[in-house]
Amino acid sequence: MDYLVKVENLSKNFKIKSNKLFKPKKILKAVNDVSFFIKPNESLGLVGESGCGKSTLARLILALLTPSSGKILFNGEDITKFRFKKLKDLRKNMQIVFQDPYSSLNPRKTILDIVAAPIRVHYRLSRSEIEKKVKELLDLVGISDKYLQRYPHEFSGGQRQRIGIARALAISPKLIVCDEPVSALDVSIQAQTINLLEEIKERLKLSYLFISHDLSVVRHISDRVLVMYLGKIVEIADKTDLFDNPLHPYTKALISAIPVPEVSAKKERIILAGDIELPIGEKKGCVFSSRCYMSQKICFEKNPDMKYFEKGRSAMCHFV
Amino acid sequence: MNRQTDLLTVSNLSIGFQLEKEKFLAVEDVSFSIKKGESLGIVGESGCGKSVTAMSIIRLLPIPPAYLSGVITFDGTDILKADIEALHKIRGKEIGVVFQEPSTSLNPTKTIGDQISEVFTTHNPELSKEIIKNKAVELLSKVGIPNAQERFGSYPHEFSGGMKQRVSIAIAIALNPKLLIADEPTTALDVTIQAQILDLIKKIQNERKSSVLIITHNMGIVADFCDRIVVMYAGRIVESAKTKDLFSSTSHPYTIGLLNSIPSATSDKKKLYSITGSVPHPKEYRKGCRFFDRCEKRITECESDVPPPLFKVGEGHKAACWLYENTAE
Repeated sequence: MDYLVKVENLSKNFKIKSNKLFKPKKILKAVNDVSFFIKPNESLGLVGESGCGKSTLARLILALLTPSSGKILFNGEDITKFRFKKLKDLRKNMQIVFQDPYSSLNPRKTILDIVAAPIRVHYRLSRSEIEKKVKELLDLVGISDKYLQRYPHEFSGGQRQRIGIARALAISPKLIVCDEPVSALDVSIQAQTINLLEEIKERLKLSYLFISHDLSVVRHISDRVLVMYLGKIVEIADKTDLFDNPLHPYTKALISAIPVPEVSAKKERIILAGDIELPIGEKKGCVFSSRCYMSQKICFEKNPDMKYFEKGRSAMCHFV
Repeated sequence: MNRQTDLLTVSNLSIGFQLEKEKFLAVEDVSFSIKKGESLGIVGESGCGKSVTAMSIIRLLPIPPAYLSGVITFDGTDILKADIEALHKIRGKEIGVVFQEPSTSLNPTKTIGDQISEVFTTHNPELSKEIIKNKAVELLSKVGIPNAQERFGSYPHEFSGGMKQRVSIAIAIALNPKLLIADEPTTALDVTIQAQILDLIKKIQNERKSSVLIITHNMGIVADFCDRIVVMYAGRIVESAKTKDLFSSTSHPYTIGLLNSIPSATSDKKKLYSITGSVPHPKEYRKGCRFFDRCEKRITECESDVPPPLFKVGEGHKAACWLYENTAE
């Protein structure tokens, strides 16, 4: 099987200041030994709560951060070694759509300039060629080309997000990292944006790494889903399997906590005690052990290995 | 319906804003009531007027620029006519409020303990410092803060988002209010923390038999939490019903569209339904039905300049849509 992206044992540590002078710096393990892959034209969902390392993982894949250890293969080549020209070429193949459509568009530039920016960086085209290309892109995302000379503040949140998507598509990437692209939008606009993303994916044969904390959105748009907790991937599965039959206790709790807009769906909720910690320092045992409602003695002593099941499913728990 | 059991009644509330050059109505002719011990949810998208409606109940809107008309009666008091003394007695004591953003609703320069104690020193100044501290610590452990005694002296920045929200709930329920208003209490929180907080509010409500008004854009939260739901669109109520009826016999085209456009976490849908267009700005509000431009079910009556009144479509179930003009009882 060929992969578009293959991540092997990837880790990223950050040094954080100690609150005492002259004390050694502490290490925060934002991403801790994760492995997974993204296939061509696949949409991979990434869920987890704030601070679990999902955005760091996205930045690593986009080569915006250098990993502490591990490999990222893009089209079979290890991008962690890429520098300068090769890195720039690589970026033609990967783009990002940001969460907040208000802060991710430059308020002083026209829509034409914003969408044309990636094209101007990577290709030498004449002004009329660029304008033609931008018009095509805006048409693709459903923004009328009369608005070329307008500024971001003249658009609503949903329209701005469309412009952000057009910019990401400008240099025909193969992978788009969507970092919470719909969480700032209202429900009715969210639905329009999700449909647009799905339509574009099929039309242009793109792959998505779709990050969200909204599990319903992830179920809708993804083919497979990764669940992260404190820098570790705790479960990977096909979306239907994951949502209908979660294996890991954290995934179970997460799914049971989704508020479902139906009244018949009165179900048992698993309420997790405590808060998400920070992954600082050496910790023995499973990352989830302190909040887990199933934890036994072994969970606090030994880190569970990833266990593999049929249909590419895997989970990291002693008791699955 | 027995009028006696209504704790809060809002009738024909309109909220207008007078800015330097322009003025507009953010909320128009909104009426609803909350019974003792009941939980009511107001849902709608941004700009529909749900938050200003909630804030007007405790008169937190600055006048000017805001102008209110209508009648709000809370436990026999006419809120809009009450003097400032009477308001002070109601705010915090009779009505507690939990705001959306726990990081901005707490004072960063004061300890958690002081902020909770403040409620007691304001409303019961005769209590001794000792008793107040004990009460505050008790409250902190009640809302599930571990080591409450030690945490009493902590500052808000030492707490996580979920913990801060627990502190604001502690402040809101300190004096055992009859009504708790929660304005998007979990929007800033993670899913598992959201479940904890909603569980906590529910527990307190059951223990104290108080009423809760929850403002949210999340249909899932109201389905789970509320007895009755009011759906707002562009400053008006479009549908109100018991929770069960709202989901089983959804009537207003906007509510139907809204429910259909939520991706499902329990089944695989092919394509999401989406309502075309976007919510109008208050300056562009139509005189008649405001959902007209986006509605798929519009009929000739909808073009009228008269806004559709709330027609009765079932027991305790009303919808503001001309489709129900003839079938209404």
